[in-house]
Amino acid sequence: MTRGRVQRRLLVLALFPALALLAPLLARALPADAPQAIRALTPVPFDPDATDLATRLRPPDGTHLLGTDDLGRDVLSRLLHGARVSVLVGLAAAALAFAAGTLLGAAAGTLGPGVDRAVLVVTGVVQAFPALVLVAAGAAMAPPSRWTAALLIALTAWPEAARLVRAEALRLSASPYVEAARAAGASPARVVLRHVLPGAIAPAIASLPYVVGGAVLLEASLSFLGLGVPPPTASWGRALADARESLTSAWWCVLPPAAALFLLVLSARKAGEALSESR
Amino acid sequence: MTRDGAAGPGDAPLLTVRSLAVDFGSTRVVDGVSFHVSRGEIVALVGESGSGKTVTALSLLDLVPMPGRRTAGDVVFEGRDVTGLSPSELRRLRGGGIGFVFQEPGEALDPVRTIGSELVAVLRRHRGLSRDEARREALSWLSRVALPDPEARMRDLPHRMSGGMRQRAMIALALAGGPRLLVADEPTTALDVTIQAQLLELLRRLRGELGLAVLLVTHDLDVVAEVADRALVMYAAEIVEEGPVADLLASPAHPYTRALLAARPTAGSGAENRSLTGLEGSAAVPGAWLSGCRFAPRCPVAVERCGRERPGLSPVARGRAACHLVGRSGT
Repeated sequence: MTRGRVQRRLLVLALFPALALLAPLLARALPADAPQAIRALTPVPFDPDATDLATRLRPPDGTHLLGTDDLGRDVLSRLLHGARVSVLVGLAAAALAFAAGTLLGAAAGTLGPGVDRAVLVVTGVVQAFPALVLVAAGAAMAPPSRWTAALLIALTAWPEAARLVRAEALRLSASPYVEAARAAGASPARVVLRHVLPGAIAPAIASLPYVVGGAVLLEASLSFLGLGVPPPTASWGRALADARESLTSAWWCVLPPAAALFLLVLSARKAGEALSESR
Repeated sequence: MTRDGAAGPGDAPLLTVRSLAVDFGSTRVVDGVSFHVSRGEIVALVGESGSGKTVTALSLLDLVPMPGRRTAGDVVFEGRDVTGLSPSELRRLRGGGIGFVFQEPGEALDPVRTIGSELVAVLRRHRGLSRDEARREALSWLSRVALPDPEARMRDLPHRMSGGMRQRAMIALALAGGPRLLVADEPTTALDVTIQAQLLELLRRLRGELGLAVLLVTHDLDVVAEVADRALVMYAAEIVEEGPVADLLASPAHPYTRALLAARPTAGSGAENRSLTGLEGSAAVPGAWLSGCRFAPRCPVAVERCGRERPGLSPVARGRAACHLVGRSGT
């Protein structure tokens, strides 16, 4: 896999958070007297939460590029704003899981059998449950918000990184330079953070895009079940849930969020493949 | 340079090891080892690989790798038992009281950290220096171990340096914390002979400058002859002979020491014509030892008693040897 290809794939993946961040600018209701320049820079001039029962379930046309949903909201506007939940929660969850997993994995591989066993038991317990069950149970107890969702998803996603890093850390922990660091009086924290982690983190980095993909899907499932971000905030999972009623008649309500999820997870996997093959 | 903790009883040795035993599971790899190292002394710990010399050295810092465990004996450094130390005292001892130089400098230096950052970390940890002071001190250590262009070396990663340079950097790292004892585990084995000679010269010089004691772990009797004051010979987890290097090399008492000396290739003594005198049999496997003398199966002069009864260390000339035959035959 060439370097350019890796970069291209990472760039494609980066489009999603970029669109999510720009959504409030790209898709918003404009006052009637807005200048022409602003109007031209706002391709979707509809508030994502503005309902209009007179125009409900309109198929795509020149005004509503992807049609409207059962409450008359613009589907494209909700799609862009939904990315703020789906993509940003997915990324935040993956980042949290990565940080926690790599630290725990490095500690487990370095600090001796006691710590190792403790971490392994916890990873085993977390991995033994279906992630959705754990997250749904947590979401039912905690106040719903995008940060709750990110935290809960991270809590189920960290064991992957922990296991990958632990395996490397076990090997490095017995290596002469880590032994030499100990013999020079380095504290356990320093041995883990400065000497073991840098050498053990590579496989976890390569798996990171996969974790992002998994986290995005998990968030969508959570929102689909109504346990994610509270309404009326747009999210892809919620859009799919809302479209269930009109599944056969209004394809434009289902297809865009489903396609967006599909493309995001696909590009995450492709980026992950590219990363691990380029090593 | 301040030498804190040097207030131990005037004549007591810097390091005393008494009846040390280390087990790996049910296998004993160090068995009843006792020795001492005095201030400013260079002591060699000699033996074949597998004789337990590296584990002995590591247990001075309580760093025996898992699943090894010290099961008996004391290690007393500057009047304090190493096993009684708290984790933070132990970290001060490692690098601050006893410096450690490892065999393969290419593997014992962190590949992703510069020499400078490692030195600065050690100096801040053990000497409490500020970042700037530590930088200056690090530079002076690099020149002290005669590394060319210290400024550039500070920023170098280990792979950019040659083996000899790395080992000099290792020595600087081991000494920067101000230790009174330097433990060097086969410090020159991975290097070619000219570099080896330079490094031994460096060790000798530093011993003089810093009043440093050195425990030199090696299998190389030429290195021992070159720098050590006293030597301990290990075989099958035990010390079988000890004494001043001059005596030991001139008139070895233990048959194993004699065999080691005989197996040494000597330049210019017609070594090409004379086949090297190898040692019959192979080194005793830990855990498969006999009740008698562990060297007996390979010993050319063993008598019936050797298979039955384990010899203890008994005085011979200015040293001691563990052999039933010394003192009787006079050899």
